[in-house]
Amino acid sequence: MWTLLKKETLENLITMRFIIGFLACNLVFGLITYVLMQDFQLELSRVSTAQEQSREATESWRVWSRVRPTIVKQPSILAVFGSNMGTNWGKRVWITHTRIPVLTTDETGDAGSTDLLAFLYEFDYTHIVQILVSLIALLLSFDALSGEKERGTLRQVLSNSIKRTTVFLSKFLGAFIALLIIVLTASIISLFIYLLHLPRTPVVEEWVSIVLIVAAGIVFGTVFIALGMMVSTFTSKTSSALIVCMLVWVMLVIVLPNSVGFLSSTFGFSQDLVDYQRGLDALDNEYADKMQMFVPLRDFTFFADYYLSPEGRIRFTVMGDNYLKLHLERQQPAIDAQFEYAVKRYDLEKDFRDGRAQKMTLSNILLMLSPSTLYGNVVNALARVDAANHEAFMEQARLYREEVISFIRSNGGYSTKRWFTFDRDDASYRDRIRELEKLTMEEYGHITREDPDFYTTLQSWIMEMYRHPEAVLDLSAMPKFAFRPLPLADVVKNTWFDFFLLIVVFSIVIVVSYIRFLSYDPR
Amino acid sequence: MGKLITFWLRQHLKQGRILVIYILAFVLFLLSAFVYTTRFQADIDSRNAVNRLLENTIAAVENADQLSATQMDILLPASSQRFVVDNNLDDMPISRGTNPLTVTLPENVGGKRVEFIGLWDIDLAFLVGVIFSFLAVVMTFDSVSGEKEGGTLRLLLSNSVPRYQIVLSKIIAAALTIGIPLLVGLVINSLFLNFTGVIAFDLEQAFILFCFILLSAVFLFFYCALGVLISSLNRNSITSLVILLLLWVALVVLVPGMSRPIAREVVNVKKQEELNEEITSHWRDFFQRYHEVGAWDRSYEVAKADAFRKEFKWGGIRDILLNNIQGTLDSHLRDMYAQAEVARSISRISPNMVYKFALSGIAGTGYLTVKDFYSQVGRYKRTLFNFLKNQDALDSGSPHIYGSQGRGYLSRKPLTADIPRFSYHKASMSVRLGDVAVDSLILFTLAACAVLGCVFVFNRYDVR
Repeated sequence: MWTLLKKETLENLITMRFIIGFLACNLVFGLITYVLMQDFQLELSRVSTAQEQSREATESWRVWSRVRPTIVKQPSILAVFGSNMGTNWGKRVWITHTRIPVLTTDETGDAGSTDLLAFLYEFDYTHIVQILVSLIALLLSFDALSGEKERGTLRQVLSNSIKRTTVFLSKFLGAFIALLIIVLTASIISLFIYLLHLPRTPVVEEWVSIVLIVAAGIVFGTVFIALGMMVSTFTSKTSSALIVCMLVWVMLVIVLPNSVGFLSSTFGFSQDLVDYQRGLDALDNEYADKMQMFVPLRDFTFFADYYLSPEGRIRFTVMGDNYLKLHLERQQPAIDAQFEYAVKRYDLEKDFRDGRAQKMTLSNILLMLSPSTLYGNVVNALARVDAANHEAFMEQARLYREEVISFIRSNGGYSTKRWFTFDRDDASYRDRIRELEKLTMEEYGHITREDPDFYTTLQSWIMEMYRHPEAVLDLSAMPKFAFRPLPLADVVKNTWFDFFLLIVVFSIVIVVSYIRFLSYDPR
Repeated sequence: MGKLITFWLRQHLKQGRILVIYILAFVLFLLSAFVYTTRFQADIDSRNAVNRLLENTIAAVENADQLSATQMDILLPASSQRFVVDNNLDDMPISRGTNPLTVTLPENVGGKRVEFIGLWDIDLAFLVGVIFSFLAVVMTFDSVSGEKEGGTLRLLLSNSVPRYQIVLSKIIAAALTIGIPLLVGLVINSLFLNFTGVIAFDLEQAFILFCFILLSAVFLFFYCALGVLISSLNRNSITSLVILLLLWVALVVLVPGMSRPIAREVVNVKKQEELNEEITSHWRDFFQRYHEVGAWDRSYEVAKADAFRKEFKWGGIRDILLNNIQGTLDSHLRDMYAQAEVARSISRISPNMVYKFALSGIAGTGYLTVKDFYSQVGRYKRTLFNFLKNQDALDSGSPHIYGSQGRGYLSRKPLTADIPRFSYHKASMSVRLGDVAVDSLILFTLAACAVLGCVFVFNRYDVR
């Protein structure tokens, strides 16, 4: 057995195709990892900018109705290995009491992509593995039997007292080891480049995921080795084995994944974006009147409400008591209506999301035939860029929304006038404003309108009031959001079936080819 | 020569596996037609929904004030030619805002596709560019080395047939073998699309399909010639297959995929935050002027009290602001165009992409069309802006304050003229042909080079 295995392995290793495949694989994987890491760093910087923006926004919130943080999905460092790094899902969610997050802001068209280069497709680690590894695996094994038969060596081997099982196993293992060498070296090279560009070292769980991703690649390649063996046992000539292999490959790796995804999205048994938007419009119309009540409830800023009266006085609008009362009366019903709206909108968005999920399930079922998609599913799950991980993000966003709401509630945000104004009840403050109202230009210090410093001084004076420390809400106690990607245990729970199916496909193929080989005619 | 071609052709067609390939091809063509029928309908539906919204908005506008506060988006009109080459249109930014007083970049509507698993759109360009080129490679990898291994090559060459005829007939026969399912499939495909009402067989459609056949023929000729070339460079047919397949992967997947990141490196397009920073600086500049001219006191009531005392002051500085922002975004757009051009140039290493660019230029679905659409919307936006200004100038009581987002203080009088509508003008066929002339030329040259290379190499081929 060992001699045979050694012979098969060595025989594989010295072939031209192994050498070319080895070099090409290593080169391509190194290159791709480098390119992907550049893209990943760009993505990370985009995410940190978005986070920075949302953090800066908190500094200008003076009333509770403005407390609407935007949270950003921090990609897992494993996302490099997944499809599109998970960016297609969108990464921003707007946390407000009027919306329960189901879809990201990027998906609902509030912040669409402006990437003009989208007419060229995005590079992808998984796609390259799917195409390159399967091709090399098939090329390593397609002539395992028919080749030897054509050369006449198979008869000699079998005429020795070696069991057919041993011959079969050593042939399979010989090709497997050759593939293993290619995949492992390519993986090591890309891992090296990956770690070199990574902002931090992976933790244990991420290391396990990385190992599992490499392992999935090896299993995926092995399926194709088995496929090559099977085709080899069914055909008597190398050339026909080759053609069949290529057809099988093009079907499994190119045709099926590309057409079935389309078919499932074409069979639109769920509502599409247009219907969804139509539903949203209807809902908005329904609530338009109730929402209208909210419109005057904006934050009253001095900036917007001072002007020079025709008589030459600076006018400040200070909220009158009646106005205040009206607002306070309207506030509670308006907020209630908005909460109600949020629930209805949630149902609509959930329908849309579920419809899409159904489409994806359908295409996944149709695609179970293709090992290439099974592998893709496994890797996407491990790279935390799949639907389950995104759903976990949305779930966390919904929880975070609850936290923010209860934080605002506990601070009396919804029930007090701080909801819409930062005007204080402080008597001295009001007096100061009244005093200001009396002032005319001439009375206001020695500054006149002709003075070049007039506007800047006035501006700074207004801004001083506006930026009064008490004017800005103290949000230091507000809960912070940090996305926790799905833990490995959950990922394994989500994707074990795909992995299992991959192994089932492999087992069926290898058993069939073994049975065929037992009755294979070496002549 | 003719005899040789028919001989090879017969030899190809005799094989049982050719039937499998043909059936596969027909199924794929039907599938593609089916997918694009529903997709076209979905396109039309979404366009109609957006257009209705636009019409309602325009109908609701009574005065210039409301028009200035109205956000209007225009989508690239649905194209029935997406079945020829799709160019990932669903992920492209094909919606552009026309609100005259805001400046926005074109955006993609509704986020990117997530339920989409594949790598390519299943359009005709995919069928030819990926599937048929693969078949061409598989068909020709052993055309020379296989015959040598089988020993028939010596016999063949011992006849008095010139070598170039043998190699040419081999290429032509291979191209014909895969040309048959292509033609039949195309007929099935376009009949299906015709009966479902997606396309109508007018002159333009016929011409596009004719160009498709012509370009596909040249493209497949290139791949057949490449197969024969590599085959005659190698003694062993398996080695030539490995090289060919890797080359195929490089041309079909690697080069197009690499062009995007390389273009990002070569041409620096401003990041979103840099863009925001620049726009903020324009606003700062605006506020500076705003204080300098003393326009700060012209709130609506005041302005009404002494209208026209400071003529167009607001309007003047608002124009400067809008022009500045527009300039920033225009230069950003120009950078994006430059980046896309670089990406396209790099992709042209691969004949697949050259083929795709040529096709999408003719079919009017690609990058060039999107670019043309942007500029048309830009022109419309300027028309709308001028319209707004003229309408405002007619109103003597207007404070001429150009505000946006519902805070506009423009003319409160009813509009005296109809609001100009946007109409999309498709580029004429001659313009489109001019755009793709270079790509077509490159494709022809590549195919010619491959064929010449074949003849050259095969002439020096050692038969033993």
